[in-house]
Amino acid sequence: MKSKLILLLVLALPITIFSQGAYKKPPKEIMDVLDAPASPTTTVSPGRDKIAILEPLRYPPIAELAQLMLRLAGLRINPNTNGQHRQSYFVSMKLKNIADGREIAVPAATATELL
Amino acid sequence: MTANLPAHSDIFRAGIARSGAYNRTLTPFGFQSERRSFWEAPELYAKVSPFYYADKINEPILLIHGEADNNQGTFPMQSERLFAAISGNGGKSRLVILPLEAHGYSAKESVEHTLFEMIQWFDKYVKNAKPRGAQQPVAQ
Repeated sequence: MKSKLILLLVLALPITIFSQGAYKKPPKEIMDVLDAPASPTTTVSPGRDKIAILEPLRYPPIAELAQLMLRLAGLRINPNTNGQHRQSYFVSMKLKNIADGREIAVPAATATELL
Repeated sequence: MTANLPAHSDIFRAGIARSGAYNRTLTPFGFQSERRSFWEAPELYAKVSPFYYADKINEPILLIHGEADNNQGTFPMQSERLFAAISGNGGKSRLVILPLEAHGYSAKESVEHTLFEMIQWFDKYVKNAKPRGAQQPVAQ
């Protein structure tokens, strides 16, 4: 009886560990809202012939919050980039010709590549 | 705010309180528009603090808090202490601590998980809960 109980505990242990540890996701309907791209910001070129369409990052990955942060003279510095810790950035960029409306996608680094 | 409702009324079935301040004696030099200190108005500090009424919180309450909350007055200790107080008095509560998050939750994983917890909580204790009369008499 006792050995059976121990066996049961040993078998149940990984289940308990894994069910507690991971981040979970809400239902698909809500995920669709969270995954929807943020409204873009735009900027016109100096020659006034192109518009840059920039998509801001809505939610950074948790890995970004976990980056090392040095507190130096009141600044939050990420020593891996020598820049600001948790700097905001855009996730995609498109250039649009004002004359004919043609769009050119500019390749961008993914959030994971940036880390 | 949410924690005060199940403490002082029975009109709600369940609650969710996020990144809150539940014991105002931990912010003794005033809070929000209150300018009197704890030593000038100790009764007021007690009255607005659900921690003092944790033994009366008789509806399930979900507490969510950012582990790195550096907001004046809402350090994570607030949720930890309220959770311990409710549980120790036999109430039903769940404490979710979001790693690396401050007062507002910013990471994708944290936002998703918060919504997951909230939906689970209300599904269990409101949407799929038995009518109150059938389950237990309304307390007090």
